[in-house]
Amino acid sequence: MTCDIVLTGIGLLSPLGGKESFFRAMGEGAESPCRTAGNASLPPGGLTELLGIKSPKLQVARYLDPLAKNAIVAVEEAMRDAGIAPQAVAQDPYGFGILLAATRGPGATRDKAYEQLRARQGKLLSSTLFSNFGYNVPAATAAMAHGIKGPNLTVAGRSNLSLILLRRARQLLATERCHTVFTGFSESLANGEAARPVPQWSCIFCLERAERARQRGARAGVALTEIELESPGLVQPRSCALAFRLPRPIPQPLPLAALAGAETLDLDLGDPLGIGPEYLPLLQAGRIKATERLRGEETGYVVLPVSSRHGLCLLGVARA
Amino acid sequence: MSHQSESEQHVADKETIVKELKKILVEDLFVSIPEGEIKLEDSLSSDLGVDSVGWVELVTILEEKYGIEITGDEAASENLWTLDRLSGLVLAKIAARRGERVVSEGHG
Amino acid sequence: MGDASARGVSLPRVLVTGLGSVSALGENTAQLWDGLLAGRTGIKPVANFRQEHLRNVLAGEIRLSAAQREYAQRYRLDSRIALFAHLAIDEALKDAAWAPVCLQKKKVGLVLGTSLGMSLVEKSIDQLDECGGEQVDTYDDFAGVVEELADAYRVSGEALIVTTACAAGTNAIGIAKDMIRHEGYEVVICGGVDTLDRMKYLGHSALNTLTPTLIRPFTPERDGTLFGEGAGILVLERESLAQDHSIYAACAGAGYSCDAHHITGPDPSGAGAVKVMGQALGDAGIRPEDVDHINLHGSGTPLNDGMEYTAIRDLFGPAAERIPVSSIKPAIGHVMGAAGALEAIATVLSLRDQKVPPTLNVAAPDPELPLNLVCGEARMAAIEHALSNSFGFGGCNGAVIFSRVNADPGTDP
Repeated sequence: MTCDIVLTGIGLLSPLGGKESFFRAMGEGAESPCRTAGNASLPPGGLTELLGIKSPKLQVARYLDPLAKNAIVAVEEAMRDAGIAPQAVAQDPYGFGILLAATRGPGATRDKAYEQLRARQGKLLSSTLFSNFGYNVPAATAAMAHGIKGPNLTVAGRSNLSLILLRRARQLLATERCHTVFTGFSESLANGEAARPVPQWSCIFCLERAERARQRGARAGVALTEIELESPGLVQPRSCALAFRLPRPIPQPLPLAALAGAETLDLDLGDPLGIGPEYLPLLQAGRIKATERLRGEETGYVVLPVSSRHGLCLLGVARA
Repeated sequence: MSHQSESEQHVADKETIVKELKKILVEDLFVSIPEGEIKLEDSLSSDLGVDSVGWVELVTILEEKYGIEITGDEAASENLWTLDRLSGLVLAKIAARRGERVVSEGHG
Repeated sequence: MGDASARGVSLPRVLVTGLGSVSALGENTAQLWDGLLAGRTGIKPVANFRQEHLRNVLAGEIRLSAAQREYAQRYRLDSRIALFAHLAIDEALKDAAWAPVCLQKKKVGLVLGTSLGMSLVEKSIDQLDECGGEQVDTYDDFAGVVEELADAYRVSGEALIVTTACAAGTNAIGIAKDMIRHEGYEVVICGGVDTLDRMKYLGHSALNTLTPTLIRPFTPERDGTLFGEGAGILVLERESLAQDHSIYAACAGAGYSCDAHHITGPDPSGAGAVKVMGQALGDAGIRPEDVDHINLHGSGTPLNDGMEYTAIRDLFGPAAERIPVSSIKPAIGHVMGAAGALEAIATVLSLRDQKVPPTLNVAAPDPELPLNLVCGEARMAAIEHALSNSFGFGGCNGAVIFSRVNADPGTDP
């Protein structure tokens, strides 16, 4: 597929707050200010309640799983960031799609349903909670809230789930099933007893076909390209580090805003995925390849390693 | 006198039924308005946000809790129900069921 | 459609070369198809979990045979969902004459649909009651499921699970088709898998989706559905690779849309369904009147069937009353995430045999929904292009089109 895809907007909810506070905190190397001591102190409304986010879009149903709420709000922010007015969606609802990744899905709602079933001596499962159980509920509820009627998909996979997500989004756009996809995730970790940052996240990218973004006069976005390395030798099982933590703060200003001229900005993330020394030459080769491929095209790029067990993929991001 | 089931022991006065209904609406149907702020004239669908899924569940809970039966026709059109009207229906059903019990016991 | 055709580059056709299934009608595809054509039912009272408090105890349940249990033991499969997937993939790959060791050298993908998988019960082969313990893990480890299957079948390309409820199987097939047509994949194993358990039946009992009797789609008496379990797998291949003797049909088109209407009920106007079917037709380059058979979603709920009729009438116009249509849900149940895949298999076999299986439990179709519903007995039909629909919870819709390989390509090559 040779369709050019651009990222024109981002919506984000995180334990570090919304998008602005998230990137500021990342730049400062700050820790999450939002901590809860186990299940008891997490407000029932989850992250939106904790962050004090009220949106009329949250009225779409009486009961909303917290992940659904987070998805609604993050899609709303991504739309606004991309300069897409609600009227634009209302006039062309099938032109917009939603594609989310799921791991645990609405687990808290399922937990609650079990609790309630026990309280009712196993006789009656809540139909409201049952309706909100499914892995596709965040995506479907976000569609209802925003009137988005194009392709609505939720996918799960293994360690390269982020890459799967971006590729599937690209497929939808390249095959013209819609011209804009809100893609990303709204997820949570199980709430343990230990104090930890609020374990809910949602991040939504607004991805569009480049020509559509140009036609509608979108502000300059970021083009996504993928460079995949064939690596037939990598069939040994390897466990990647479970937590991806940057070794040091991202330099300010943010790389995306700083890309200009012919200088490449290599963030030298080290080995954040715990890939291991034998993979690093591959990473080096990948960086060189990326440079060759993108040199002569516009400006700089950020190379992010994304690995799967069977190979290493580098996701290159260049200014569009 | 035969053993009375839990449902038969319900105090059949409006105030108690309304209180119990409010509790069900908040705890089982996730109505986001606090119990103390729910009014008798509130429409279940437009004021309290009970949709078609919630309505089916509400009917099932009421049938189970009060030992009554609400037919499909009676339960139709959830958007016509207010808390006032619903509590009236539940009261009437409880009374009707007790009336039947009294009659049948008289044949002993 | 798409960039390549605009540049005059022809895109590869995608062919179906292998089928595999496990369902309430049998342990393999031959048993499924024979059963469907003969009008047999796989619906029976559930034995794998407790029956109390359920609105209906009938389901398209699979009672594991000794051979299936032995297979699970031999391959150390401790989860019912993995067992069904393995059985069906094994059959499909053998049918397509692909040994996993040969797949390793190709660009191969895996795309499976499911709804909840085994999220609500403990992972096991056959312990399907709700969990008794205080701490319950209420999610299925889909990453683990995918990982294990990709390893077992040497899938080195992308492997993913689609979780769009009842549309998942159909959506998975569409994604797989496009991976071959547009992304250079050579073979993609696709379909869907799902399991029954007591929590799902308690949920549907509460939601009133279950009929108190039997599934009677498109009849005036229709009042709900029943659920089933199993797996349906299709092997899709790039045309240049496929061996003549094992080609069933071309997977010609797919569509996606969302009703954005209600979390469980469909948009009664049928607009989302019209869009999804239309997109599939456009993708296949055929017109509505080129369709010779529709495998309905046909779940038998009052809401679905009315909506599905409206959408078919609106899109197909006069052809709506002519095209023979059928639902196999009365025979095997609504198999949730695997429904789209098992129904796709039935659609492909309808193309191969030029025969439409009957819709069970239909004494007389509803005159308010005048479609050419095949009921009573299987019917011969001249089929060049066939459409299969799936409409899921959350308003997620899927449609897929299969065509005979030497079929007239229609108006748009």
